[in-house]
Amino acid sequence: MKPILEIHDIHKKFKIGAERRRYPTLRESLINSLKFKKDQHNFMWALKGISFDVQQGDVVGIVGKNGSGKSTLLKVLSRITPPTKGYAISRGRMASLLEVGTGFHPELTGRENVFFNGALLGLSRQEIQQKYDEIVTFSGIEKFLETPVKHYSSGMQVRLAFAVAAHLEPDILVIDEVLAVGDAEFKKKCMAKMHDVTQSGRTILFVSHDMGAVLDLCNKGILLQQGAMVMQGSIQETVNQYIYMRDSISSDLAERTDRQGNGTLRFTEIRLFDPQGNESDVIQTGQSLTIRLKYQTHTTLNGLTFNIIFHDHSNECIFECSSNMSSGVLNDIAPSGEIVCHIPKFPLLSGSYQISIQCRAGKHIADWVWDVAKIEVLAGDFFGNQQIVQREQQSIGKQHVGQMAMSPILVDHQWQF
Amino acid sequence: MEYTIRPISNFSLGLADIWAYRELFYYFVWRDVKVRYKQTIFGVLWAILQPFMMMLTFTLVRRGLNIPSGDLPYPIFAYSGLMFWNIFSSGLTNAANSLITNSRIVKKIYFPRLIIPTSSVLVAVFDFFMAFIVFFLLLLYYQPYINPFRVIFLYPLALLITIVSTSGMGYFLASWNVKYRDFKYAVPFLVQMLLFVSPIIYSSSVFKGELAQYAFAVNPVAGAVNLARACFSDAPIEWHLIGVSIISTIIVFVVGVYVFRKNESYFADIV
Repeated sequence: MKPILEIHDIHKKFKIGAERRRYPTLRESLINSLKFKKDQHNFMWALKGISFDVQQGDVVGIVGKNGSGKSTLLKVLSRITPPTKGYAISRGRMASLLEVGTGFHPELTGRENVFFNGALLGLSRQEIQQKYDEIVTFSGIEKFLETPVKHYSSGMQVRLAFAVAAHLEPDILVIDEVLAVGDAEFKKKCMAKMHDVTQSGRTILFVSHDMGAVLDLCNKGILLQQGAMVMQGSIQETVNQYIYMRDSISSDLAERTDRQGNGTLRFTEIRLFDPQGNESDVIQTGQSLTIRLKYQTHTTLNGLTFNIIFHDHSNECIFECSSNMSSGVLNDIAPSGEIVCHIPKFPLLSGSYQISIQCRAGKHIADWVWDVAKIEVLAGDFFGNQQIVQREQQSIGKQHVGQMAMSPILVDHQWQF
Repeated sequence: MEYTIRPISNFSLGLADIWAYRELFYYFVWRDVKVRYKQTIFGVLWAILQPFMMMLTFTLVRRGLNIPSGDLPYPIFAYSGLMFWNIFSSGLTNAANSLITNSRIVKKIYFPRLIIPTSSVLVAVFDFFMAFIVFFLLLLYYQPYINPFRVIFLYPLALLITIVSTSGMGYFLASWNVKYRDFKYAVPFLVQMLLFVSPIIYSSSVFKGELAQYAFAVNPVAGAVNLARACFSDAPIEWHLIGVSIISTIIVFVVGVYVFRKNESYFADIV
């Protein structure tokens, strides 16, 4: 039998740099077209020759770091943007879910949005009418269907949106990172629904940073790195390779090409220091953490703000340290130098976390690099009372030592009795 | 159902694709009509109030000026023009901005993009039918002469000319607006200018001289409004002028569709 999806040497080129950040005006384009020597655009190959076949019934997990081309690949396959080179053949009805709730209109009621969103995703009117009750039951928000969606909490919107999407019945379903939202219970329900979909022999392409979900759902894997496919195989092998790769790359920040921003400033180094001043990426909860960032710039920049973002293994942002919130904006910096961020009491509980860094100059993003460092946090004494605070789930079955916390983050506080 | 995804090469209309997604026309119009009048007191009445107030204003202003309206009572004369003009002005403005207002959908979901600006024009057509209720009442009140044959054949033709030319121009402006936001400022200005060269509050008979009349007829709205008004008289229709309007309608539509389809595939990257 022929594969349900054949992908042959797909390339995709994007314009990058300042041009991409704002809209060109007509005047600029006219002037540019009159110039003898045209302004050179910077191009970036987001996809560099991707080829693979997908057989009917396969559930393919596409993994890779941010900026590796996963989402671009899904956009090309869903026909939202054309490839620059190469082609793909699809032998079935395809529906893609690149974002939950696209097309939800805040002024329309939940019921109205189910119909509009369903139609956008490719359901016919008849199909929506048939499945309407099922969709509503799945969402669990029967009571609010006549309320405009603008009054919904974000959780309710996600529930309703996913309920619609879960009832699509295409031959090929393309899903991008949509399970990252919603509460744990609903996520479980969604995963169960996705399992049903795979049982019925449908083909799925699934992108997620949540390796647990990928391993749980998929049987085959594809690993992308900087727009190229570096591996194709069983899902277990692919995820292993990805984790190995992810943990070994933070080394050379200056060489990273998978960065966003206009490039007027570039981070070149990140180093983490423990309270004793030793370079270390292992610290205890409640200890101080010092982060030293080196940068280079070739222009004078004003209104600079720096941002360090901590996120967990499923890429959800947990907290950020933003210089303009705590220390104001910076003007007129030296062409290269070092800036330091000091966190007196590190608030995250034991586990491993990823760090991303960002620099803005005024309204523009100058540099933005994901996953520049990983930090390993050990259980520690946060409140200064000789009590070790631990994540609750990690102590199940073990002997209870110290305090158990349900949240991943601690906040300094006192009680009065 | 097999299809190939490949780089943009040859020009095609993609009609089969549009047919497959035909239900979306209905849903986009339905959503826009629903959304537009939420949190308003008058609701859909606005679609009637607007042309009605305009007609009253023009009728009052006309007392000071001397504008001939032929055999028709002036309110009917003005209102019949305004109904078509509103399809053009609001349809064109909305169509020109439609890809930007729907940019989130364009970036995340595939469907033939022509559906978006076309639906914007169809929303204006919906308003037309709302406004028709008042027109019907005006007809009952003034009891002008009606030529039934012309109403059946020429009135739909007038509507068709308006829809097709508005859509064509809308496609053109929508695709350029994605790239150059200059058009956001140009469109209201363009619409205002066109009002002055369209026979909405005056009759095209004010133009003397053959050349002036031909130049005037290039404007598709002029042709449509003249056809619509011809339904209320037996005077011979100047088909050579209507012909000019129809030809320019076809040209505007073909150019609009061509420009739109040429640029369509890159909307998601730059909108």
